[in-house]
Amino acid sequence: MPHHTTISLDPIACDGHGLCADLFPEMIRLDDWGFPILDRREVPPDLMAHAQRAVTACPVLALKLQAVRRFRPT
Amino acid sequence: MPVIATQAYWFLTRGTGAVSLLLLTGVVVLGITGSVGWASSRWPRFITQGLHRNLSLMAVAFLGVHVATAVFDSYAPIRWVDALLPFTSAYRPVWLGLGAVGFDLLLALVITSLVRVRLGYRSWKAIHWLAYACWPVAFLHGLGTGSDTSDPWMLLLDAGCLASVVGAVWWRAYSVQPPQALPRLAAFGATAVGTLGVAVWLLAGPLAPGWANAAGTPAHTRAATRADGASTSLPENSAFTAQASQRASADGSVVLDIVGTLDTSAMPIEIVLVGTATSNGLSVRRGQVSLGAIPTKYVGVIESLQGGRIVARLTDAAGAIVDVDLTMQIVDQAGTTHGTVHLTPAGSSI
Amino acid sequence: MAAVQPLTSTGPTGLPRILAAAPGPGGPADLAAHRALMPPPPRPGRGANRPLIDEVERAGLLGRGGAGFPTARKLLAVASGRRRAIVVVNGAESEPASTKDRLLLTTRPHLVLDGALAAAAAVGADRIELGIDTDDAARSIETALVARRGPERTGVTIRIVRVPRAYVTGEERSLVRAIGGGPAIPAMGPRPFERGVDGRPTLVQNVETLAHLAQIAAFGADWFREVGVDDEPGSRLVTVSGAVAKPGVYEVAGGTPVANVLRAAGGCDDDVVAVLVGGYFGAWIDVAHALDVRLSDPDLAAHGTAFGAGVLWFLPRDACGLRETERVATWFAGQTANQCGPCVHGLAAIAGGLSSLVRGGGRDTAAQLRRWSDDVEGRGACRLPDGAVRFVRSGLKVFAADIERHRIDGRCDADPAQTLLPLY
Repeated sequence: MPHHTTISLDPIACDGHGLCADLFPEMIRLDDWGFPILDRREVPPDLMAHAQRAVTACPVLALKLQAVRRFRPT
Repeated sequence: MPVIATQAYWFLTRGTGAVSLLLLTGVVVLGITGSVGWASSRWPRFITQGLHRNLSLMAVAFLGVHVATAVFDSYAPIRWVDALLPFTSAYRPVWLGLGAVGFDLLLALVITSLVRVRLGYRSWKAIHWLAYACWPVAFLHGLGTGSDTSDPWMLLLDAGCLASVVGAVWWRAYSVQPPQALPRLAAFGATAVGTLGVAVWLLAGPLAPGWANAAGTPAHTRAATRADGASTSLPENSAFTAQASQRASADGSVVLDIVGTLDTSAMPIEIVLVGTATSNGLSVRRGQVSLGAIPTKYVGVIESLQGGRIVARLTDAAGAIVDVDLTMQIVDQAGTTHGTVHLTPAGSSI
Repeated sequence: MAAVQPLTSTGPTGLPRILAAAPGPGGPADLAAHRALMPPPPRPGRGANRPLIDEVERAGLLGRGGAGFPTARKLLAVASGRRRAIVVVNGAESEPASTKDRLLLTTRPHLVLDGALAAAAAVGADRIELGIDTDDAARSIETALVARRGPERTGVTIRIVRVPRAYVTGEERSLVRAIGGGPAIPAMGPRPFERGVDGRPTLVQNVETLAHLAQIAAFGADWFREVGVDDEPGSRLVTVSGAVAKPGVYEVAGGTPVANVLRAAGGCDDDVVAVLVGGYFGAWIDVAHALDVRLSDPDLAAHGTAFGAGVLWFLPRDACGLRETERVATWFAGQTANQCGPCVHGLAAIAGGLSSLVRGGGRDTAAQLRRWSDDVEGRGACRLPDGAVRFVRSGLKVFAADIERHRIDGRCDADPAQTLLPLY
């Protein structure tokens, strides 16, 4: 099944520690209050390692990598 | 037992212990720095987090060496199981036990952190509160059983580590948002009582004379203690196996060399008897017993010999005295000798 | 599988429908008077009632709680769960400008209960939980339940749960938590149709939606579609207030233009400068565009809003739209459940920015507010921040002239003490 990966956030768990944006600025930036704003597009394969680092670095495990099924027109 | 000089083990145990205390202190302070959320442009939070993680892994490695060398070292009778199962050790059970507790806690903290994603945040966090128990336990272990507790530089290191952790705990309590009185009171109370308690106990315990005894060092180990702290542990009772060989000396006397090892610790034992040959054996004039190998060798003159029983008082280079009461028997023509030794520490001579 | 009952009864012709019957001599709880209007709902059985779900599907009923989700799809999702389903009646009318659900609960309790039982029949539920946020609504339902004990026993467990009056209470997962004894605040995790109350598949349905469902079960999909337009079939309740002579709850056909509702409520085009369509979860539309807008979701989507909980609030000409927007934005900031950072900090910052605009503000404040609105959108566990920024954005657009006026003069002609939009 073709799929792609996106990053997702549990906003209730997130405390705005901000490590994710330090580690993965390509797709995560912080708002004016220090909470992450995620790029909802597919994580490019060459940035996967950075995404994974950001996910494991989150002190409260609020960040996840999510496999999304790619729907192909039939 | 790997072939390394006994003293090297003992030095490694003490060194890795002190380094581990430093590492654990760093881990605690960094962990608190992370949870307080402190960062600056030149020190982003992932640095704090990365250091916290890597120092804790390093601490585990150092403690691995700390435990292994303590076990390998033959001075203190410490077994592998003592490093994991608290309060089972014959050697300073309470203070070594605290080390085991600390090591277990650290392992729990590290392992749960490595599988944090699987465990889920809540469970991980609940377990991670144990870090606040792990450090004090490790600290007390060091003070209670460390050979260097009374050394000024070690006291300075201990004081520095304690101050760092106390300061960090206060920082954490005062950064709780919104400000709450309870965490502050708890942090202040716990650190004040803890520090004061440690100070009083230190003066009455580890820094006072006779601590080794009070701490639960087995008598024979204490007897074996050398001035530099490195020593070979002596068993209380042991069988031994040796080989007897007879030769003639230059003055015409007969010399009987009985050379072997103790069954319990593979410690070399050597009995030399000098006398004259008679029709039914040897009439011994004098003799000597030695135990161990350089640099920890006990040597002494035989005080009495009756049949197969020998009594001698041995002394090592540092002046530690041990009384030997041994019984032996040459069992065959080839000179194979079996016997038992009974060792009693008898203080030291300076 | 239980069969849908024969559609022999005929429903009321034209409008009103769910507001049709005045209470009988015994008051709103008079079951006999209610039964004279419609037959009892189908009895809930162990399995799903597929013919009933199909009927709702054909009716094209859309949820009336705010999101406008197709009811049949929700029924189907809950009915296909592995465990026995539960029905939750969402009587938390969190929209301050809306009173329609409370009106139904207090004056048509049997219609709401019929709807809840029909929903229970559709999904095969054996338990109905009513989340109610006002005392009078709770009393009304209680009395109606007592009236049913003798004549209409269904074997379904029905319970009333008092929930706090707050914006987030009405969110599905908040309500499910509150019914489970937890706090009435949103959560992450599976949606209630998968795992709701006690981990069972849970149908959370708005009070008005259930009233329509009761009538569809009784009178059929064809009858339902006799009123309204294709993309907004049936009738719906509208809470009308502001610059009108006769504020109140009106039942109108789907697709009715705003102007018709204004006139029905005794309002005059000239007295109005802007219309808040859809309530605080909706958007301001200036009067020039608002009056022709039809009350259907596709039409409203073109104006960046949705009909939401069915509120039409007409801003009078002598009022200050900026100040009203600021009041509601401040209220929004106070409604946060304090869980998600962007909602907690963002809504407070936005409210602060709006009050600075009221005091004169800076030239960049409006642009800053737009940027914050973009940043906050879609970043909460529930839709509270989304609703807040949609409301604020529309206010910034519609009241641009007022903002300029305040920037230059630091005030406007409206009475600064005037407060119009209802808040709680």
